[in-house]
Parts: sequence; structure tokens; C-alpha cells
Amino acid sequence: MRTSLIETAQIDQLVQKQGDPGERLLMEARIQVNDELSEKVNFQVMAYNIIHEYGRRKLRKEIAQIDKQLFTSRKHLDFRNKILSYFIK
Amino acid sequence: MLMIKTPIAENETKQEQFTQLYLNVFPLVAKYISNAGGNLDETRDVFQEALLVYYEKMVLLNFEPHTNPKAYILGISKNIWLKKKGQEINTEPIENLELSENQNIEPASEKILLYLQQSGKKCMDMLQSFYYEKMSMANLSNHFGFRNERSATVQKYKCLEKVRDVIRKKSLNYEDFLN
Repeated sequence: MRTSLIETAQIDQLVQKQGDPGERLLMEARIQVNDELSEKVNFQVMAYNIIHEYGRRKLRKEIAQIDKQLFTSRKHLDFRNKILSYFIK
Repeated sequence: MLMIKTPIAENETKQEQFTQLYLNVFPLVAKYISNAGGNLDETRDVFQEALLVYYEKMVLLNFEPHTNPKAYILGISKNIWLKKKGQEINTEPIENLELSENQNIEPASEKILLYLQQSGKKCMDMLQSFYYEKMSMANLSNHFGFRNERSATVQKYKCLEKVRDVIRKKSLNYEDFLN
């Protein structure tokens, strides 16, 4: 891996709390004295948050698609009728 | 009853697992919410949110509920419903419910997310498979067509670096991003 990717991997292991604890400690020390590296860590943490949100939205769509299937397919007509009966007043 | 414990993405029956949860638990939630004066759309919103909370707890946090999934998801749904209606629930502690519940991201993050959805979809799909679905590198490598795990790992870090750089560049234009 090229140097920048190794650094990205090291940040990854630090943030995800994985890999060798000794190396993580060393990385933490480097961050303390290196502003550029510290900035990279901050942006990488933001990246994880955005990836998380992306995954969540993808899952939401998948769940909504299951809902659509259950309420439209003939196979699940009993399920649909049962649910609708709860809301007919 | 289903118990989602391992990363769902590694299981080919992911859709089937959610379908079973829908068939088994949704009627209970529907009955509860209809009795409380809610409608079907509100039930859908609540239940789908509850499934999301359940998934994240099982897969991201390796949480094991003390009760069965049916009762657990019903409990989460009740909490979400009561919260939406501005009521507090004190009887059933559904630990750390705030995990999911419509956490809106900042407008600048929203813009960056939209940008990445359009210009970096392949990378985002790969990264979310690893970080959100907790797919193993072996499965990820196979799923995305890499020669081996090492190639997949290198690509994963390239993608992560790319996303990080997009955020850095875009954040210079979005004042609210770093606030």
C-alpha cells in the first residue's frame, strides 16, 4: 500500500479500536504533535458518520420495499387484510 | 422467532429475515397503535424505525436483548410511538433507544452525502457494507468482485481516503459543516 493509504489504515484502526494497542498508542502520540494528521483524523471520523447515514438510508429503502411487497402481493393477502381491519373504525 | 445476531448482509436471507419480522411483529404494533388512535402510515413509520433500531443494536453494537425479538421490537415501537406523541414511558427500559430515531444530519453533511451518492456510489456501497452492515472482508471481496481480500482491503482504504478528501474539500465551502 502507498504511504497515504497506510496512514488511512492506521487512523482506521485507531478510530475503530482495532489492531495492535501499542501502535494505536503511538498513533495517538503522533496526532498530538501533528496538526495535519489531527485534521485528517477529524475528517475521517466525519466520513464514518456519513457512511453510517448512507447505510441507514439504504436499509430504510430495503425495509420500505418489504412493506410494499407485503401489502401488494397476493401471497400475503391475509396479512394485509388483518392489518387493515385494525384501522377500519 | 428470528434473532438477528450476525451481520445480516452476510446472510442471503436478509430480506427473508426482515419479512418474517414484519409478518410476526407488525400486527402487534398495528393493533397497539390503532388502539391508541394512530393510523396505518404512522404505524409503518414507527415499525420501520423500530426495525432500524433493532438492526443497529444487533449488528453494530452486538447487543443481546434480555427478551425475545418479538417483545423487544414491540417495546421499541411503543417507545417510539409514545415519544412521537410527546409522552414518556417509564415502565419498559429499552436501552439507548436514541441510537437511531431520525437523527437528522447537518445540511452540509446532507449536501456531501448527496454528492457522494451521485459521484461515488460504488465506493459508498462498499464502505457501508463493511462499516454499517459489518460484512467480513472475505464476503466483501467476493460480493464486489475482487481477486482477493488484500485487493478488497486496499480498495476499501482508497475509498475511505476518497470520501475523507471529498469531505475536506466540500467542508471549505460549507460553513455550517464544522460548527
